Amino acid sequence: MRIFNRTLNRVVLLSVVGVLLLATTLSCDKALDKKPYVYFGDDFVENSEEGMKGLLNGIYAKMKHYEYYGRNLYAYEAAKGPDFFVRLNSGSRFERECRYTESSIDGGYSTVTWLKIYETIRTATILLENIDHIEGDAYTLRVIKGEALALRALAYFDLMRLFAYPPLFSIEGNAKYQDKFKWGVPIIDDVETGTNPHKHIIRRESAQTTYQYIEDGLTSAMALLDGATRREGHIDYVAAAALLSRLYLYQGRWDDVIEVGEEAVLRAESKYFMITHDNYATSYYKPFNSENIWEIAYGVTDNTGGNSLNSLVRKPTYNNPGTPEDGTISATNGYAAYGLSNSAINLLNSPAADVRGYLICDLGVDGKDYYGLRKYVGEPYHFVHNIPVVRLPELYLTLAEAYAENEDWPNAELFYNKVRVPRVGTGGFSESTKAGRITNILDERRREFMLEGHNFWDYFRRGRVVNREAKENIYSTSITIVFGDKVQTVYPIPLVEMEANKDIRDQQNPGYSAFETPDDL
Amino acid sequence: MRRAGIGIKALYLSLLVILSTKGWAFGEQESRITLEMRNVSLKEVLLEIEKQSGIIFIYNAQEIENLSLPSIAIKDKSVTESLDIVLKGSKLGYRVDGRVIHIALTGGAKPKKEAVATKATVSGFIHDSNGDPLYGATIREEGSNNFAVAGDNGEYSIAVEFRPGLTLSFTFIGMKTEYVEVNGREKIDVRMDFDQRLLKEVVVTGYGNITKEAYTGSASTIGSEKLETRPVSTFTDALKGISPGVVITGVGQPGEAQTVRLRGTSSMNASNQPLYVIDGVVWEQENISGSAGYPSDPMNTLNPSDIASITLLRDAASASLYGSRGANGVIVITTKQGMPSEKVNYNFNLQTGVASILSKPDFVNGREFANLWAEGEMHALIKGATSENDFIPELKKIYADKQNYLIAGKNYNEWYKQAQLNFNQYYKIPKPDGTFHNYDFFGIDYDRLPNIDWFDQVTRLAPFEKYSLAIYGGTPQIRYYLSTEYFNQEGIIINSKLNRYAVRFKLSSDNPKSFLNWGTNLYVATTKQSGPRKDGQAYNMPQYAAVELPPVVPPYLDDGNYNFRFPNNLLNTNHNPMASAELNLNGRSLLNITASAYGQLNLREWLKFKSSVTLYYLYAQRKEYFDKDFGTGYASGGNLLERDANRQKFVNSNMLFIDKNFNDIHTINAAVGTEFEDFTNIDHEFNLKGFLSDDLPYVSLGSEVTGWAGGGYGFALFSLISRFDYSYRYKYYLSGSFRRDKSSRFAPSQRAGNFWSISGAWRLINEPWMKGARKVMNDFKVKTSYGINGTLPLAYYSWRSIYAGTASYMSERGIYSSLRPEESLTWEKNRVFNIGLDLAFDDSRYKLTVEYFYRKTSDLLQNFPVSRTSGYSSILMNTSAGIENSGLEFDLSARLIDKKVKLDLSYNLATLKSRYYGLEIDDISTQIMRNGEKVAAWYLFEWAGIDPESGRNLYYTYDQDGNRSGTSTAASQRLVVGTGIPLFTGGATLSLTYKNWDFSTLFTYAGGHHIFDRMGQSLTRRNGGGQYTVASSQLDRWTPDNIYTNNVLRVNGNLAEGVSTKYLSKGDYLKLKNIKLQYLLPRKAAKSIGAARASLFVQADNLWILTEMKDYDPEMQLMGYRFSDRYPTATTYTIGAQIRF
Repeated sequence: MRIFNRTLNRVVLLSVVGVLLLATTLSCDKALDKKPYVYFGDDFVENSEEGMKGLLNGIYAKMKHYEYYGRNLYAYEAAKGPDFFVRLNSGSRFERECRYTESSIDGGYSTVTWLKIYETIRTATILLENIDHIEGDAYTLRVIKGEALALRALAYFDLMRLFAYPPLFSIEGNAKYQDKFKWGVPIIDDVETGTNPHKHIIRRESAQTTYQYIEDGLTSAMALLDGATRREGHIDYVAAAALLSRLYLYQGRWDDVIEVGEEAVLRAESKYFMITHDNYATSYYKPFNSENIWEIAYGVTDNTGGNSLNSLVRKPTYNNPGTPEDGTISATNGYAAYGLSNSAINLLNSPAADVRGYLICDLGVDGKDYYGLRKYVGEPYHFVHNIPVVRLPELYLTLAEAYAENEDWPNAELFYNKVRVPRVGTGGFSESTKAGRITNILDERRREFMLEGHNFWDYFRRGRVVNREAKENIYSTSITIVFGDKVQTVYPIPLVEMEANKDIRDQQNPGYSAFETPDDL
Repeated sequence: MRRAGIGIKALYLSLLVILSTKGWAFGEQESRITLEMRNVSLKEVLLEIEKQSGIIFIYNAQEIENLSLPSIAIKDKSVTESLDIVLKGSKLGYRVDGRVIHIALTGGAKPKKEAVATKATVSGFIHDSNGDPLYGATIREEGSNNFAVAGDNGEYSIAVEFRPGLTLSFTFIGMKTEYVEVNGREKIDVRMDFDQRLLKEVVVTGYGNITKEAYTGSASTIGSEKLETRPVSTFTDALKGISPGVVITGVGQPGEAQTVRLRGTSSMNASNQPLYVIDGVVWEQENISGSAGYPSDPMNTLNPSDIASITLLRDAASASLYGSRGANGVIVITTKQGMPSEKVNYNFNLQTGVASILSKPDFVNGREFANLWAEGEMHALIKGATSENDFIPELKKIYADKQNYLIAGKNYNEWYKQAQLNFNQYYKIPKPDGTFHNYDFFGIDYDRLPNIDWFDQVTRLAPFEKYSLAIYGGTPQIRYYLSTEYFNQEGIIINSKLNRYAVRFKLSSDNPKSFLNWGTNLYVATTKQSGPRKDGQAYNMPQYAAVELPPVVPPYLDDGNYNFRFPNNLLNTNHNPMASAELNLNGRSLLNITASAYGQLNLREWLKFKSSVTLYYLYAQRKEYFDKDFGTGYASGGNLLERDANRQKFVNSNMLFIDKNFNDIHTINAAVGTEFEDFTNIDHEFNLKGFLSDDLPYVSLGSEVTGWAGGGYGFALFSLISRFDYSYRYKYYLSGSFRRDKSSRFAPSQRAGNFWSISGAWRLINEPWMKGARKVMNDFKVKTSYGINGTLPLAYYSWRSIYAGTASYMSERGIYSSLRPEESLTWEKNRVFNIGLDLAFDDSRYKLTVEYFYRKTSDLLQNFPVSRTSGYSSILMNTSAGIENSGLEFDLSARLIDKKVKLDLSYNLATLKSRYYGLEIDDISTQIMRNGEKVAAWYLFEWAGIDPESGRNLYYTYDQDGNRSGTSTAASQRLVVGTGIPLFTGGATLSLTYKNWDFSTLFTYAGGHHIFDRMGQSLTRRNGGGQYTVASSQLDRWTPDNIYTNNVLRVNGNLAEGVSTKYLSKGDYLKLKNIKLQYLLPRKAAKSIGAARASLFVQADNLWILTEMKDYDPEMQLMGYRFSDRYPTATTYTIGAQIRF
C-alpha cells in the first residue's frame, strides 16, 4: 500500500510538473491573439476595393453628423445671418453665435465642428493615400477617388467659411485685405501627420494657399468624376463643378465662375429642372427632387433625433397646402429656437405670387407672434430629412451674379429668370443700375437659400453690412454687423486646439484674445 | 462521541481551519503521535501533540507553567496513550471531550468548607458575542479543582458550595477567560469574547493565506459581521469608514456601483478601480449594459450575506501578485463555507425598513420665484430698451426715482407691471382642453400661483427588505454550505429599484489526510433593476427635472392628468418626470452563473498541488420603452430599445503550494503556478418605433427598426505566478513575489510584462531583549515592502490600426478610423513603497498600526491631447508623465472600558498627496492637470464678490509677481485653488456593549478639499437663467436698492457664468454613516421560539451630515463636482432579526 502510494505520488508529481511546463511553454500564445469584432484592420481597409468603398461611405457618414452638415454648419449661418433670430433659453443652442459673443474661451460650437470636419478630412486622406495601389475595378476606384477629393476640398472650404476670412479680406490685393485676415487653416494632406500630430508642426496656412488647395482638389476631382454615372446622395461631376464655381464666386473670379458654371449647367440641364410654380409647395422638400444636384441623405436609422437641424429650428407642422391647418403646429417636439426676422418674412412674401412665402409657418411659441421656416419637412419623422448641398438654383444665381459683374446683362437676366420665373411666375430685374441688379440677384439668393448655408457668407464674401432686428438673443450690440470690424464673424480657433498645439497659438483670429490671456467671460 | 466546536461563528472557524495545516481530526484514535524531544516544557509537548493530532488541550496555564520534561520519546501512539506517558508522574489528569481534552490537577487539597456553605448547583448557558453556544467550555470553581465542561448547546451545570467570594472562571480556546462572582445565584449565563491575542487574523491574498503577524505588507481584513446586516445592495458601501486609505463614493440609486479608491489615483486614462477577486477569481466589474447612464453593475449580483471576509490589499507585497492588474490595490473576497458540525445549522436573516432622502437642494417657493423672475424680466426689458453701456446707469436712475424717471416712456412701476404680465403669460397654466388659464398671479389670482416642491414630487419613502437563509454543516470528510437570498430595495426616486434572488451552493472535501481533496462552488443570482439614468442631463430623469422645473409649474392639469405643456421648452415641453416614471419602462436585469471546481493533491504533508477551473457567465438585458404620448417616444409612436449582452470567462489555475517548518526555526511558505483567463463579451441591440399600444413593448410589435447594433470584444491573459515567504524564529520575515503576465491587449512584441515585490518584517516583540517590554506590550513589528505592479489599458485592441465599420450611408456600411494604432502600447507601471509599524499594548487592548506609502506611476497611459486637425482630440499612448501618491495611515483600536460595560473604539485616518509629474502640457478644464499640482486641482478665476456699483461679479487681478493687485469685472487670470479630492479621510466606530445590548455608531469624515457647484453654476444659482428653478441663496441679490450682497443683478436670459471660486465650497464633512442597536435575546426567550440564538436590531444608515454645503452630501462624488443630475443619497432605517436554529 505504502509503496503504491509512493509510486502514485511520484507519478502525480511528475505529471503535475509536466502539465505546468506544458502550459507555460505553449502558453496560449495563440489564445492571446484576440481580434476585434466590429473593427477592421488595415489589411482590409487599406488594401481592398471594399475597404475604399467603406472609407468613402465613412466620409459621408462624418459629413452627415449633426456637428457638421446635419446641423451645425447651417445652424451657424442662420444664427449669424439676417434671416433669423435665435430665441432666448431655447436650449442654449447657437444663442452665443446669434449674440456674437464667442470668445477664445467659449467658442460656442466651434470646438466640436472643427474636430468633426477634420475627422472628415482624415477619413478622406486615408482613402486618397491608399487608393492608387489598390487593384480592382478601375472605373469604381476612379469615381471613389474623385468623390473623396471633392469632399475633402469641400471640407476645407467649410473650414474656411467658419474659421477664416473670405478672399475679399484675406487675399492680398483685394479691396479689404489686411495682414491680420490672411490666415487660412492647417492643411493635413498625409496620413502620417494625422496619425502622429505631436511629431509635426501644424500651423495655419495662408488663405491664399488654402484656397489654392481647395481649387486643386475640386479640379482634380472633376477630372476623375467626368463621365461617371450619378448616384443618389453622392457628389458627382456637376456638383463638384458647382462647388468650384462657388469657390470662384467667393474669390470674385467672375470669368472662372462663368467658365465652370456654364459647363456645369450644360451637364445639369439634361438631368435637373426647376420645380414648377404649382408643384413647389408639395415637392420642394422631397428627397432627391428634380432641383437637388447633390444632397446628403438621411434615413430613419441615422437617428439625429433632437440633434437634427429641423428639431433645432422648429416644431412639426401640418403641411397640406390649401387646408386651414396648413402651417400650424402639429406636435410639440422640437426646440423651435429659430424665428424668422421681419426682413426675411417680407422678402419671402413680396411679391405675393412668390411661392416661397409658403415656407413661412408657425413657430409654436406660446404668446409670441413668431414664425419659422419649413425649409425641411421630415418624413416619416420631423427630424429625418436630407440636407441639400448643391441645388440647380445655385448654379443659375451664381452665373447670374458673375454675368452681372461682367455687365453681360442678357446672360445675367437669363440665369436670374431661370430661378425667378418658376418661383414668382414672372422674370426681369426690377432695378436698372448694376448695383441694383446685383442686389436683385443677391436678394434672390437670400430668398432661395434661407437655412441652406449661404446667406450669411453671401454678405460676408462681398463685405456687405448685415442688418438685424433687436429681438430675443439679438441685442442692441449685434444688430449691425460690419465685416472686418466685428470680431465674431468667424469662430475663434478652439481653445483645446490652442492648448494641444503650441505652434498655432500665435495664429488666433483677429480680435480674439491670444492664448493664455483669457478674456472676460 | 461528541464533537466539539460546533456553533462557533463561521468566520472564526474558517480562520482556524485555514490556519491548521492538519485540519480537523475527530476521534483521537485517528491520530498517531510520534515525537522525540529533550529539555522541553510540558506546554511545548502539548503544543506538539495538538499540532500532530488537531486535538485541542484546555488547561490552566499556571498549573503547568513550571513543569518540564528532560526527555520524551513517543512513537506511533494514540493521543491518550501519549498523554499517559507525558503526564506520568505529574499531578495532572485529563478528560477527553470530543476533540477537546481538558487537563487539570487531580486529587489536590479540597478547599476548606466555610461554615455557611450550602451545596448547590449553578447552571447556565455559555455563548460567544454572537450568541453562539460554546460547547466544551470549561467552568472552574476558583481556588479548587472542581470543574465542569459545557455540554450540548453550551449549557453547563457545576456543583458548588456557596460561600462568600465564590467565583467561577469560564475558559474556552480562543476566548478571553471570564471570572464571575456567584453571589448566591444558581443561574448564570456567560458571554465570552474572542481573545484578541489568540485570535490569529489571516490575510487572504488569493494565492495562499498568511497570518497577520507574519504578514509583511499592508492589508485590512473586514469580517462578515460588518457586512451582514447593512441595508445595502452591494458590499462596497459597507466598507466606508472601516479601513484607512479607502475612499468610496457613489450615488443613492439601488444597485449602482460605487467608486472605490485605495490609496489615491494612479492613472489618468486607465482604470483606477481596485481589482476585485472573489474566491480566487478576478471579477469582471465593468458595466455590461452598454450605457454608462443606465449601467448594470455585475457587483450587484453578489449576495453580501455570503461574504465571510474582505481583505483589502494595498501595497506591493500583496498587490504585485496580481501583476498587470494590481496597481490600484486588490479587494479579495472570500465567501462562507460549511464546517463540521453535529447538526445542520440554519441561519435566518430578516430585515425590513424604509429610506428617505438625506438632504435635498434648498429652492425658492412659488411666490419667491415669481418675484425673482419678474424682477429679472423687468431688468431684461429695460436692458433691451437701453444700450449696453447705458443699462446700469439708467437702471440706477429709474430705481432712484420710481415714479418720475422714464425709460422709453415708462416709469419703474410700468416696467415692473410689464414684467409681471410677461410672467403671467410665460407661466400660464395649461387647461385640459389645450388652452390656457389667464391668471393674473400678481392680482386677483394671487392665490392661484402654484407652489410645487418638485423634489417632494419625485422622491418618496422607499421600502427595503431582505431575507436570507444559510444552511451549513459538515463532517470531517464533507462540508456544505447552501444559501439563498431575496433582496428588494426601492429607490427614493420614484420608479427606481433593485431586487435580487441568489442561491449559492458549496460542497467540498478537504480532509488533509486524504490524498485527494476536491470542492465546488456554484452561484446563481438574478437581479432586476429599474430607475432613471445614473447621471447625464436627460429629460427623463426625475432628479434632473426637479432641479430644472420651477415651483410655479404644476405637474398635473385640473383634471388630474399629466401636464405635458411645460413653459418655454422646459424639458422639451412634455417630458413630465412623473409621467416618465409611471409610463416609461426602464429595466435592466442580470443573470450571473458562476461555477468552479477544484481538485487538490496532498502530495506531501508540506506539498500540495491545486488545480481549479472557473466558468463565469453573465447575461444582461436592458429594455427601455418610451411611451408614445409624450417625451422621447412622442411623435414616433413609442420608442423601444432592447439589448442583451453576455459575458463569458474561463479561468484555469494550477498552483503548487509548499508549507514547511524546520524545527520552528525556519518556516517556508511558497507557491508557484500558472493562470489563464479567456474572456468574451457579446451583445446585440435593437431600436424600434411605431407601436400600436404602449402595453406591449416588444420587438415584434414595433413597426420600424430604427437602429441595431451587435458585436463584442474579448481578452486573454496568461500568467506565471510565484510567491515566497520565509520566517526565522517568528522574528524575521522575508517575502517575495514574481509574476509574468502576457496580455492580448498589446502587440506581440509588447505582450509580456514582469512584476515583482520584495518585503520584510521584524517582530521586535519576539526578541529576547524585549522581554521586559512584554508586560505592557504584546506586539511590536516593523515592516516594509517595495515592488512593481501595473495597470492595463481599458482599450482592447489599441495597438492595432483600427477602423470602425459601423458608419453607414445610403444603406451601405462605412468605415472610419476610430483608433490610432500605437504598437508600442504597454502597461502602466506602478512602483510602491510601504513602511509600517504594528503595535499592541495591554493584552491587545490598544492596537495601533501606522503606515507610510509612496507610489509612483510611470509609463502613464495618457489620452494625450493633440491638435484636432489630426481628426483626433487625443491619442492613447504611454507618456513620460505620471502621478505620485503618498500618505500616512493610522489605524487605532482600543477597548476603552472592558468590564461589564464594554466600550470599544476604532478610529482610522489617512492622508493623501497626489501629484502629477512629467506632463508635457497642461490639460486644462475646470480642473487642471499640471506638473506638480494635485490631482483634481481646481483651476478657476478668483471671485471677489459683487461690485456694489454695477451689480456685476468682481474678480481679483494680479500683478506680475502673482500678488493680488485689485479687482475687476473682467475675469482675467485663472488660478489653482485647492483640489476636489480630500486630503484626509477616515472613520470612527464606537461600540458600547452591556449584557445583551450592543450599540454602535460609525462616523466617516474627509476634508481639505473643495466642492464645485456645477449645478448652481449651470442652473440654480445663475443670475437670471429665466426659466430654471432658483436656489434660495439667490434671494439676496443686487439691485440698485440693495447693493451690498453676494449675488449679481438678475437679468432674464443671461447665459451661465464662467467658472469661478464663487461656486466653490469647502468639502470637509462629518457623516453619521451608521448607528445600530442590537439586542441578543436571552437564552430562554430564544429557546421558546426554538432557536439556538436570536438577535434583534434597529439601525439607520446615512443619518446625518455636517458640511458647508448644507443641502449636499459630498460622499456622492469623487472628483469634487456637485452635478445637477445625480441620484441623491438615501437615509435608510431598518429593523431586523438574525435567528439561528
